[in-house]
Amino acid sequence: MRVLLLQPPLLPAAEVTPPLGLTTLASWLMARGHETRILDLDLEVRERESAAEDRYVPLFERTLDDFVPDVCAVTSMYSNSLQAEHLVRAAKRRRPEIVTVTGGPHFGALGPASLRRLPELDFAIQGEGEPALSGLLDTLAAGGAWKDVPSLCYRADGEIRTNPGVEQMSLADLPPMWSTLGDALDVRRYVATIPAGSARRIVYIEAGRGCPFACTFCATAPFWKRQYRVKPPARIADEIRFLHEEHGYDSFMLVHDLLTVNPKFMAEFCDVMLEARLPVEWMANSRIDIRLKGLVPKMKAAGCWKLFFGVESASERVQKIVDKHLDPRDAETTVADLSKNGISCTCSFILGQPDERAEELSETIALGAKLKLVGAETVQFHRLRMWPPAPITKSPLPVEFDLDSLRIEYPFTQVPAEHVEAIHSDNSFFSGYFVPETTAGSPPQLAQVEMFFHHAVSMAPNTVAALGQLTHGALVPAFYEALAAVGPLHREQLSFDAAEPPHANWRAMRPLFKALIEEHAGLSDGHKSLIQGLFGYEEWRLHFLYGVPSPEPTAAGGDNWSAYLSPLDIPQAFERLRTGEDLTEDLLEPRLLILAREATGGFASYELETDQLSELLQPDSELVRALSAVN
Amino acid sequence: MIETLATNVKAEDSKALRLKSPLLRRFSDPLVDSPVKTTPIPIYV
Repeated sequence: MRVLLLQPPLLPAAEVTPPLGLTTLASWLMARGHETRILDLDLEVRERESAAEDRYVPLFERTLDDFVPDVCAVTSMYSNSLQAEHLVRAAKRRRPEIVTVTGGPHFGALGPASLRRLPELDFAIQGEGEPALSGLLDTLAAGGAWKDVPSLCYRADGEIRTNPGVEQMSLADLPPMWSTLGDALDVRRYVATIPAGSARRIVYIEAGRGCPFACTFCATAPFWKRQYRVKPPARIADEIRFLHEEHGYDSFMLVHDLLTVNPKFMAEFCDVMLEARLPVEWMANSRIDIRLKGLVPKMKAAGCWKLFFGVESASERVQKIVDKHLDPRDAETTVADLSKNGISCTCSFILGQPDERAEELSETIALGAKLKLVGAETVQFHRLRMWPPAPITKSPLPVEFDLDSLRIEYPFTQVPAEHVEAIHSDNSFFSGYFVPETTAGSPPQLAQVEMFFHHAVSMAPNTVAALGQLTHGALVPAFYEALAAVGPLHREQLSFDAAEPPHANWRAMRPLFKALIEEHAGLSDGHKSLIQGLFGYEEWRLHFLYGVPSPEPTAAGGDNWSAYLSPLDIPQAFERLRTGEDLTEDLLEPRLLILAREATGGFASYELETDQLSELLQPDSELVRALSAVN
Repeated sequence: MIETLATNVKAEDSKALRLKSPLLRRFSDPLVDSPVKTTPIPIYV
């Protein structure tokens, strides 16, 4: 049969990577003789302000006319399900005889509800898609009973029925990927979206499925029935080799809910990668309590550059409530140990658990900032989402519609009123945008925490860590006060595109940041001076690193260096923040700090005595010559 | 060959000396060692 696999617009980012679920499905279907194409509207539609359907539906209709599929199968992540629905309707409008199918994380968790919502939808597939979709195509082609297709939701005799699933497949049964895609997808078009000069050419590949843990907020573990499965290591290495040699990708996100939970697999995979001798790197998901110590050097040698950790909360009480059961103190030692071995990490936190207190959320923000100081490359703060089949979605919690979260995640930066209304009017299907009431803050407040601290920890982690220390659990309430006084950040003010320099984000956040420090954090004059000293240095540093004039005055400068006169002993303050010692007013000693750009493209930071400033102002001084030589 | 290696070592030493010169005392700043990055919020990587 002729099958069109469809990805609706997903993220307003410049760089696009191939849709992994659809490419896996395509290779599965093609191995079974089905002529398959992928239409990735996330790639095709690059204008992301207006969400008008006329931006992407005509492209889809042209593909329908050109390819003339028998079946149109649409996936959706939760944030683009409305766009998926528009496409299903458009398919039936254009060609009433076409068979429409949905699956993937959202429709795949809510099959019967999808059919109830959408009369134009013929079938929905729950859970694992490969055997169900090929089973459906075989039944459509050769005739047969819908009841024999595993995991299929369909209409019969005026009711909606759901077939039981079968045992989940062995991932060794998946056909080889990428090299077999043929005309289904042109990988080169994705490569072309990587910005020039990117340090890494990143692509996602599937390492496996399923996590054995039972965290209450997690939708993917139950989606894969908490069954840990992996592809054979050699198969993963083959995919890496193909994408590197044919398309120049050099950084691979090994998609798996919790790859490192099986150290034996990790050791085998590392052996295969060491033998492959490819100049590439990879990253994977882990937990801070998985003891990898013996394996870490081998992982580093085999190309691991980063691990992802869901730390979730600094509160042991919250850890227990959400059934994650991490000891938050492990986070710092794990991140620091990895850093010593040359492996970086992303640490992610969830904001707004139902029973979370603002004080606990304050500690979580402070821990996020601290982790950035001991080696985490990225720290993320995310709102709690109620997406089925996560265990928390089965609890009858009072919920509120959360428009701000919708705006943060939406595939378009502007969310039309009719889209808001469509989502607001169905809180069972769009339950992710109905957040549980929490003592940690209102939905608009928590959306501000998410946006502000995501960027503040990224750009000024020492300032945030110091605020966390000196406000003693009151950081978040102080932030809410500052928010009430200054007004909220707006989604369209902030760019989440890693390819863009962060100055515009800093400018947008600066008034709120200043108000928090100067008026609302309840700091003594001495502590305020400490925080202001950190803020001034971090602001100056941010601008130097990106070659933009700083609002903070520069004391002296050359072609490749710049000097800053700080009222604070910054090196000592950084050291205390890193080791957890108290910040005290004896740190209020002026220091002359220098940042220099090295010939390699990296940077170096130096400290001088303040009386050396006069030497810096003499172009032929020994000091200036030494700094120029850094370049 | 030995001479080339020796020259390289000398050049490296010279650079190291400059960087370690008492004139320039380094301090550790995590964001200088690893410049600022942001990540799109919905991507869990």
